[in-house]
Amino acid sequence: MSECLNLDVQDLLPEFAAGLLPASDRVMVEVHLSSCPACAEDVRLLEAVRRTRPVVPHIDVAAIVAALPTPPSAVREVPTLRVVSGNPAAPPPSIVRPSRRQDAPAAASSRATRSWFRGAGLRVAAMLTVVALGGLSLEIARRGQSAISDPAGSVVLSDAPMIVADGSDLDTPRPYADDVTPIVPVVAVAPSVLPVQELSEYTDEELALLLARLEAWDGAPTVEPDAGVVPPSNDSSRGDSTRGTGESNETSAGVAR
Amino acid sequence: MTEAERATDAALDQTLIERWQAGDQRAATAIVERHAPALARFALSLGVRDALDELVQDTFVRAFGALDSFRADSSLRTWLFTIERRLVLDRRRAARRQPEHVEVMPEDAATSFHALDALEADETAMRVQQAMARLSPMQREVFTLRVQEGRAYKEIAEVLGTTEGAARVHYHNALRAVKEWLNE
Repeated sequence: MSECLNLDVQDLLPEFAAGLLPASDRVMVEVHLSSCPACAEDVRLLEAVRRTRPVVPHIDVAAIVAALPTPPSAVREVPTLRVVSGNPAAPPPSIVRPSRRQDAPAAASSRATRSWFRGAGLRVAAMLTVVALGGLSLEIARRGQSAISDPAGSVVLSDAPMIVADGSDLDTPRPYADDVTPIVPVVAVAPSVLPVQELSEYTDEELALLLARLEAWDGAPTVEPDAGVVPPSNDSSRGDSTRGTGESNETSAGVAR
Repeated sequence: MTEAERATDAALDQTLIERWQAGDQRAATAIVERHAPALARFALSLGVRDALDELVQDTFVRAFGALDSFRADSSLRTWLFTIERRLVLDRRRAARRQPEHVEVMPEDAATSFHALDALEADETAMRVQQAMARLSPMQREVFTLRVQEGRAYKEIAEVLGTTEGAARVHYHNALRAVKEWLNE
């Protein structure tokens, strides 16, 4: 039997034996086979080889699919950690109060969260208060030192505003460094009736007046003056509260003890 | 298999891949059902006798884990054949007990190829199996892929890591050898 030299047809014989050729190619091969015993024998051999395809044992498709990796999209959909407070589908509590029966767990969670934040807020506020009061005490102590060490005996006040725990701006000067509260209104001090001068400079009338006052003075006031009101006849407190201001008609701050 | 049929199969495989990548597990089932029998047959033709299910499963697992790298310029089945063949070679190298050259003995064919049970009267089929067992591994793989699986030379070259021309030569040499042994 002579060999076939038609390589194009020979390349198509496996598909022809398997019945996979399209109609046009199949007709062309059949025409060739009718005149080519060698190719016809090859087709019979190929058909026999194809019939000997091994029978595939049962394949457990479900087991294979179960062993497959997760699709990429499913991996992307893996939930991630996030903070969830309350029922995300529910409207904000400030708008609609959730039903106590239906949303009891969510409401409880929300309440717990709010309670926690409220407690934390109070703790933070308390901590800030302690810090502020501590700082204020230090500032007061510092000012007290300054007042004591001030050679002129005057209270030295800083120009910087003071902030206390309640947030108020305490820019108002405080004459008493060792007493934060109460803040006493300004006491108007009446000018001295007699200016301080040498005795020789006083007239006789003035000296007589001074002697009369001296005789009437018992060394200590018997009646506490009302706040803001200074008896014109009692100048005993001048030296304490209006030191250095006796020659001025201007008012100065004073605190009644 | 015609070019049109190959194109249709390729389009269907690509659609199934995209559906699986979108999260449709049914697409994975469809892909396995389409190609598992062919992979099992190819494994048998490579001389695999043990753990055939495991080999097929590992092939799919590895393939699905690398589907992003799959290029549609070759068919999915060809790609699966390539993966499976590499797995077989890796296992043989790892085992070292089994030689690289695997002879498919006639008795193995009689027991593994259950089709022979239905072809007991077909002496030609038995003799064909015996003749194929005498082929070299490369010739047998090419011959099996070309005749029993209907793969084109280009696809066979991809699976076996050779050229299309070399695959054609191996096929014709295998066919000639089988015919000579059958005529002895």
